[in-house]
Amino acid sequence: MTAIWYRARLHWEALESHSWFWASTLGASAVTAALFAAAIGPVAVPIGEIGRVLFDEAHELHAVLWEVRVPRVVGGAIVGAVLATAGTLMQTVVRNPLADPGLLGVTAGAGFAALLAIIFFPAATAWVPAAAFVGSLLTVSLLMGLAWRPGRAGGPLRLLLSGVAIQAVFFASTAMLSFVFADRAPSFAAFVVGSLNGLGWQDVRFAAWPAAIGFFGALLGARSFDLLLLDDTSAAGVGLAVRQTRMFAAAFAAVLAAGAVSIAGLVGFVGLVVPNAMRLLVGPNHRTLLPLAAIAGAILVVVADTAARSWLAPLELPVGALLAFVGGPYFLYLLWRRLG
Amino acid sequence: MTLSVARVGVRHVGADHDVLRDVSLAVEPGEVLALVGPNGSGKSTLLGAMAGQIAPRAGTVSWAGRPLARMSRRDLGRQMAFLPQDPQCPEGLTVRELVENGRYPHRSFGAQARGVDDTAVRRAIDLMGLADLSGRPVATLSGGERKRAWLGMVLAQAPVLLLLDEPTVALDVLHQWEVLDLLARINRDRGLTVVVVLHDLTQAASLAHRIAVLVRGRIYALGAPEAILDEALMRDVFGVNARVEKRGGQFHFDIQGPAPAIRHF
Repeated sequence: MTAIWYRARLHWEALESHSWFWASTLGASAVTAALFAAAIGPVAVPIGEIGRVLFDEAHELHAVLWEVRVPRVVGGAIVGAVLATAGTLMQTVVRNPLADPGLLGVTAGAGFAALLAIIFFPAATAWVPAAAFVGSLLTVSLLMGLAWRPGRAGGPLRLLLSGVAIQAVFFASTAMLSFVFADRAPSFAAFVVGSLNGLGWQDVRFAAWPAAIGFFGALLGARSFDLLLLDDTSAAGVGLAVRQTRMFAAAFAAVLAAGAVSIAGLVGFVGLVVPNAMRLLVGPNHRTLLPLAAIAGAILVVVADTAARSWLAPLELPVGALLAFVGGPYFLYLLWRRLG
Repeated sequence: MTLSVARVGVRHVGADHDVLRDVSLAVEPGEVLALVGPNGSGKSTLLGAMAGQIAPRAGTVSWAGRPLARMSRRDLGRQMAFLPQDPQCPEGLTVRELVENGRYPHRSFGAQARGVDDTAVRRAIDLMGLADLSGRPVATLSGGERKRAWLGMVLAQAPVLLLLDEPTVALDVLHQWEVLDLLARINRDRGLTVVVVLHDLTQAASLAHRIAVLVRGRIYALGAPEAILDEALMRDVFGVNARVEKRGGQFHFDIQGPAPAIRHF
């Protein structure tokens, strides 16, 4: 009898915690956002006809939709999902809600390494994401070394200042490389602000692998990452290999961030805004938080990118600039709340 | 299955002296062992070494004959639970989610919760009187409730041995009593072996079957409260003149003032 009562209670509480409600709301929003993003542009595709245009290769709008809009929406969704997941993991790794792959220089490190690969091994384009991964992994390790003190929660100031310094160095190196090798390097401005302009299926394929690997690792380790949020002593007491788990989470955050950088450049703030907002809705448990943050991140980037390219059309703004308008103030708010 | 500490020495990183020196003791199955001693005597360090969290620089700590250093964290987590003095819980985590963490070492990697996990979590929640609080964020609870939530987590872990560092510290009198009562009940009803660091000698004497008194990294005395707690111990270990009496099954320490000179052994 008690068992039945307890089960009923569990179900009630699960409903109460709203996870499913938010999951379905976000899922529906994601579909809506994708449809609008595909419909809006210099050549409007009526929303009701998207399905027909997509499967009718003879349709006059098919090429625009399939070769331009859809890869851009899919690429944007991957970038957003990947950055939000990487942000969630990084916040867990340093046990600090202010962590963000863009803000702390992880994407800058990935970008620098990717640029090195593009400039010095122009033939090996397929290896660009791998180079980005090496760069982001090195940056994450550097950050952990500088900002992490065992046993205690990493102080926000130490973390942020380390991140600022790391970012400055990679940023300057990236700038120098792009000016010296201006003939070979991609557009510096678009890279630094983060942009989805001209994204095609080739780019989507580039980002899909690191994204798939990263999501798989993140979900596989979700239960272990929950324990990383406790203090190290309690986590080890429950049977968690704390150091290995933290490295594992950091490595997957680095893979994810690298995936985003190799196609969209330095898109910032997604990894900061989304996980913090989702945590307020569904709490800190990774099994719920990670998928929801991924969906919400995808929505945010797709919507922001649609706004960025249609707002001052035919002028295309870089999506990263628009995101910074939202992310900057939110970051200040978090910082103000955290430092008091 | 028993935990034994054999000639253990511990030195903290960068320190120039040992925090623990040549400590040996064996925890007996089913007992409550209290570790007491003045500040800096090494009792928390000893507890950490017993939990396998502090690596000794000399000697070995072993569980059922196996050195802890050769066991995986997960293996250790199935046998023993360790609750530090001031555990940290993330913002927004509910009581039930915290308690569910205790099942971690019993689940295979990435697997779903099974019936046995649900049962263990439910029993831990009921035993700690947390049923009405289970959906509340831990951060919104009072100090006593929070301590019960953490105890719920380590009980859900279903360990053979429970290691606790000052579980009554920073709680008001009623909640101190509650925690001690819970520990006594768990020990009695479930046969759980408990090693607990305590500051308060009255609490140690009423809860523990045996007390280990540490002074400057060594075991000064080890035995039943009746056998070791006396005026001489109060003077030599804690530096106070005190009358020690046992009335109605309870120890009373009537502290009269500092002892003239602390005699070191």
